[in-house]
Amino acid sequence: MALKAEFEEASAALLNSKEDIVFFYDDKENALRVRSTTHAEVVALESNVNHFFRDYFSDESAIESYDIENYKGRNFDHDKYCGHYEQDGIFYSDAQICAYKVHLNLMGEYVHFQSTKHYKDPKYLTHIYFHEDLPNRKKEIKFTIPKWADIELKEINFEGFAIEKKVEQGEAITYTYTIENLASFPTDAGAPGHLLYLPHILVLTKSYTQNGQKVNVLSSVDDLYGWYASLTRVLPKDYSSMQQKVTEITSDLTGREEKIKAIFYWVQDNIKYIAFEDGIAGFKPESAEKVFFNRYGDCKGMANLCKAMLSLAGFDARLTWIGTNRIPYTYEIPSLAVDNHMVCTVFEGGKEYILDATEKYNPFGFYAERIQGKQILIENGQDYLIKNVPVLSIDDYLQENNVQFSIENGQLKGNGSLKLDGEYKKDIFNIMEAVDSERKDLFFRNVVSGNAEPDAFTIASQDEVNRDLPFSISYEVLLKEHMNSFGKELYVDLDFEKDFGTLKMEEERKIPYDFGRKINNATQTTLEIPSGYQVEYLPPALILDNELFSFHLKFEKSNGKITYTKQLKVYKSILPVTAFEEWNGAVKKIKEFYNDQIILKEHE
Amino acid sequence: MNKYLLKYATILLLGLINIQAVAQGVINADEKRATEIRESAWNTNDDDFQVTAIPEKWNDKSAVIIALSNNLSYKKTFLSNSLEYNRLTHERIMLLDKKALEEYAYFNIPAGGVYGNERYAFYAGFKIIKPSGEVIKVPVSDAVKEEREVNSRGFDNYKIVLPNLEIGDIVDYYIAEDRIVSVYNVYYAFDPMIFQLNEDYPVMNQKISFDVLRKCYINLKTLNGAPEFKLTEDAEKDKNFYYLEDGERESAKDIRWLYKNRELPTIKLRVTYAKGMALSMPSFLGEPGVLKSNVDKWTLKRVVGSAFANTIYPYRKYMRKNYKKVKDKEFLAKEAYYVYRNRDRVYNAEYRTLNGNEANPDDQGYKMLKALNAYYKQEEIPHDIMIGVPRSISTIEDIILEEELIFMIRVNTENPFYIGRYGNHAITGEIADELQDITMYQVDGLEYSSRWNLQTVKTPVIPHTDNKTSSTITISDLDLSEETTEAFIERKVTGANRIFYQNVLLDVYDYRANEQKKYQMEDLIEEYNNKIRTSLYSKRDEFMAGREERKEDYLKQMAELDYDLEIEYAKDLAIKSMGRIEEAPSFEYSFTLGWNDLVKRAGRNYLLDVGKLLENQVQITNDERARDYNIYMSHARSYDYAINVTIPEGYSVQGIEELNVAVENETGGFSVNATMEGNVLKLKSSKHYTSNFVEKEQWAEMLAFLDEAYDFTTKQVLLKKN
Repeated sequence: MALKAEFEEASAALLNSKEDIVFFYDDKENALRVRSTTHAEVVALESNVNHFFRDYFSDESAIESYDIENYKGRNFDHDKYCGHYEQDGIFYSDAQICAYKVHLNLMGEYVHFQSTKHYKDPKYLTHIYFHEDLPNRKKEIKFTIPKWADIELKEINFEGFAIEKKVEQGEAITYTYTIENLASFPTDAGAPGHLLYLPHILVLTKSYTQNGQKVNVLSSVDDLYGWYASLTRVLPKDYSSMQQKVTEITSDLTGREEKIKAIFYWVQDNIKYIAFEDGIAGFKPESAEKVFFNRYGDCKGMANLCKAMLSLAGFDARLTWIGTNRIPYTYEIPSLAVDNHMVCTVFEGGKEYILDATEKYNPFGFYAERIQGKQILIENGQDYLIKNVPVLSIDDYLQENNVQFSIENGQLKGNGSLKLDGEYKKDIFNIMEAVDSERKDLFFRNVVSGNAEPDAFTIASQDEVNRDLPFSISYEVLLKEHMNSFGKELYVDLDFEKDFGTLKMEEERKIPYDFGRKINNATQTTLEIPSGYQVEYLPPALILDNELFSFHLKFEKSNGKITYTKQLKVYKSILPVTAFEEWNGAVKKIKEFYNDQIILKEHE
Repeated sequence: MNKYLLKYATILLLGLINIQAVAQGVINADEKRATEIRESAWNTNDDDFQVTAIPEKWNDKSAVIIALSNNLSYKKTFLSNSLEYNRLTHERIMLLDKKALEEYAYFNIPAGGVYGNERYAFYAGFKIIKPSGEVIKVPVSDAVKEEREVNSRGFDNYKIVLPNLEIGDIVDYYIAEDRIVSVYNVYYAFDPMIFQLNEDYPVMNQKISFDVLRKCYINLKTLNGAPEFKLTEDAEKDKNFYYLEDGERESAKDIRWLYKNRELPTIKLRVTYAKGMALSMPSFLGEPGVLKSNVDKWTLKRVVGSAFANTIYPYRKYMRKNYKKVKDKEFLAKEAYYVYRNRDRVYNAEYRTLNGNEANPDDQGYKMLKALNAYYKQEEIPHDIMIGVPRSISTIEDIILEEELIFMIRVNTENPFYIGRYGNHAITGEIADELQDITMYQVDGLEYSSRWNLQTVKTPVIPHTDNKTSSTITISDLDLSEETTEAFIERKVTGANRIFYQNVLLDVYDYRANEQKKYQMEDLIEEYNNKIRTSLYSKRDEFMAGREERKEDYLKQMAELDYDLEIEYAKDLAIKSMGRIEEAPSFEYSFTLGWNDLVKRAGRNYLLDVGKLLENQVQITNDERARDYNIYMSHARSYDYAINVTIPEGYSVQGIEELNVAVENETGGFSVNATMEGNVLKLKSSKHYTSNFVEKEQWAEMLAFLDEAYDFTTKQVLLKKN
């Protein structure tokens, strides 16, 4: 079967699929509406395939009808599930799904799916992808836009994809985009947000004119802010229930910055992240009092509570909208797709402090990778301000490990100290919370020793959790696996972690890789040369430098010691596909370096 | 997952209840009933639920269950065909770290509703007790409803978040289920339940109680030191009330090699409604309303006798036709099994495979044993029926439910043998893991059941030498300049060890041809109508086209599980013996494997990770080194390795003497013997677990050989440039 050869890994494929999106005016409701009809023709590339057609809807959209038919146009037997579904990190939302399960008994079996969805409010139709969950012979996306509507279609990430576009003028303008032979939605591990690299069309419903009247939907960032402000303006402003707590937190503090920090930390520590994104609650923050009482809330609720508590303490604190690094847009684009997060900005002493209380254990002044460099939309009365979150230096990500090894009784014994900072420290603090109290030691062992399996490992000391300071763990370790004695020679491996040694990008990978954060690991290890021994061999140094990453690893001998220095830096959290070849070359070299060993030889 | 659902999930996994689609309902719908339940949970004089402090010894735990109660009630509604079941679970727990806080912050509660002849209603209440003593009641009306429907049948669910929850808080909550079952028959058995008195967190106090109207029957057993139930009779209400009190239980979770039902204090329980005709059927039911905790031999005999009565061997004609003149009873006894296996399992395996189903599904062989018993009776082949309870559940002395019964046959011909395992590849003489080392009752299979005399026998443990995996690993072309090292691996697997390999590497077309010839199998596909036949032939073509690639995939996946080395490829699978008949009981195959980084450069020399050629070994963590419970494993087993590495010219091997280790004790052993023969490094290694059970006092002995084997995986030899 030709299709099977074409889409080797897939159990089914789309012969073609279409999305037909029509904007129209609803006379009864006096409003602009959108109807979107999906067609999908699926063929099985194997026998016994279960395939799911999925239709997503919410309070703002509804499925009007659907059909599933065989090649004769007769109903195709299917199971149907409709209802809420689990969304990562969201406790409850209005997002629902209808999933239709079809069983394709034989290779070559065909099924046609058609469904029509109705958007009550066109601003909720924000973007359309070309990719689907099956590989596709041909995908067509067609927009029918009346001339009285100002709707802009922004073509994003089209480069490298042979997408054809046809525009036809008639009573309405139709835009037809087609692409052939498209792979399925990538499911690779370490995938950055899809919007960053997959082709898609952003639908900007700006305005429409009916009966001589122009109605703005989201024509500019002014409209977007206007709508957001209409939701936040009505939030209760009586914060008295929080006064006592604010006083308690700040009364002993004199510095203004200290007070901001104390309130920010209190919200971080005491408000659990639980998101209810039900209907308008997806955009409107929960009242500060309710979040304060519940001790839980989503990003908007936490931002609003920060604002309330800081206001009570006499600060100019404001709600701030932001799109995380999964979203590539700026506020030049008036769309609900431009942001997905909310923080709180405090204006104090000519400075702005951006507070994201959802990032538990992030120190004051440290911004999570996911918001660094991103534009923010800050409330400013009737107006708004657009600014940027600073990008932090790689120095803020320093993770230092120092180990002193000695050889005692034929064993490699080490005393070490690991000092963590930056986002990794934050992650460690968060994971510590999820670990059973009784298993904390095992957890720290894994933090320190990574992939190594030390024969004995004891934590000598560890710092208290303090997000303002680097976190240090001192430890003692015995390693059998890392030392071997052969005749008069000792073979010694001083590396615990072997960072990146196996992180090779697969040849088939077509999408960038997300490290999650910048990386700056510095390890210094010393080995006391045992008396009676001399250095027979030290592996040669490895120095690799480019604008995305640098690997510096070397061994040196001095004053009866061998010093192993390892500095690994990844400057940007996302590795583009174009850098994969260079990256894989570096991984090969670093693996060779790790595999090599120090040789010590007994004096003759 | 929240606590309540977790318990439900466990029960669902056990297959004890079967909640399907439930029509939509609302929690706490019946106000009067909701009040009644709330009063019984929160307004009682039960002192345990007033406690606000925990013992100091548990301060470092994630959470401590201050009090836990489960109240169950079973009754037949007067003058109606309905049975009522009520369950109230009430827990009071102190949360001591953020992990516990996270676990108890959310609860899921089924919405309830009607499906089939059962109506469900759920009630719940939540309150938080702050360290200051302040009590915050969480309105259940705050719960959000998640709508869900499958094929238009709803099974909605409510989710609730407990607000204002902080470390040191106590959560006191209850969830109650009311179920009304319309009974149209004279018999209805409620879902059996198993309670273990150890929870994931330590428990200060707990109670289990149930009341049963006299028309219902209770089978109940407390095991492994669980306290006995006490009885209070309420003659006025025609009710018996049983309760158990317990406390001071440490947490028990994630323990290696433990059969919880055999070690932890456990209660098994089932309530049954029966009347009229149903009572005359043989069963384990006792007196109505009276707790039945022992099944005597007479009852067991009646129940099993009735199960084995009136059965036939369905392939009599085949046996008669093919073995008419055969007088050798041992041969006939075995052949009757293999014919049954062929017709019942192998015959359909192709159909199951082609439709994407498991070709060799699990089956305890109950029907097969009944059929064989019928055949043996007919042919007067002496045999015993053996009756027991799976080893992981309990002993035969503690049987209380019919569902626990498990059987085996011992054929008493000149060379007696067992029929104790069933499956596409199971052979005569085998005994399933669950049937080994247990006490069973044995009866003469040729006798009428009324004349059975239940004798107690102990079943053997199949020795580790019979459950053996032997691997020969040959590396004849060690290219030090290459990242990948190729090895030729031959493997011979016997007994219980072979089942996994057979299930993964054998497909129906490997063994069908042999059986087709021997047992005159028709092509099953030909028996279907034209449409299905065409479809099956098409699937067969497709299956055969992808067969080699699929097996290589499986081989690679298995190797990835077996070795702590990156697998570059696995290929050239050759199956030499399928291990499906008594004459050739081992599964034997060979393949070629490509390992990455088996050798590492060190200056001019190379290090060979020879220890990693032994497959992954069990690693015992520090937490596991002190052990409070006996050790239960599925079966005794052994692993032999012969490793031959041809050393490239120009290199000599150092470190061989360090490879030689030997630990041997009563519980098992591990040894390696390494030598150089010419330019070939030869290792012979053996590891065995002597039995399927080790007493906790011998744990240190087990650790001795487990640790030695794990340590060996880190060993290297040096290939030194001459």
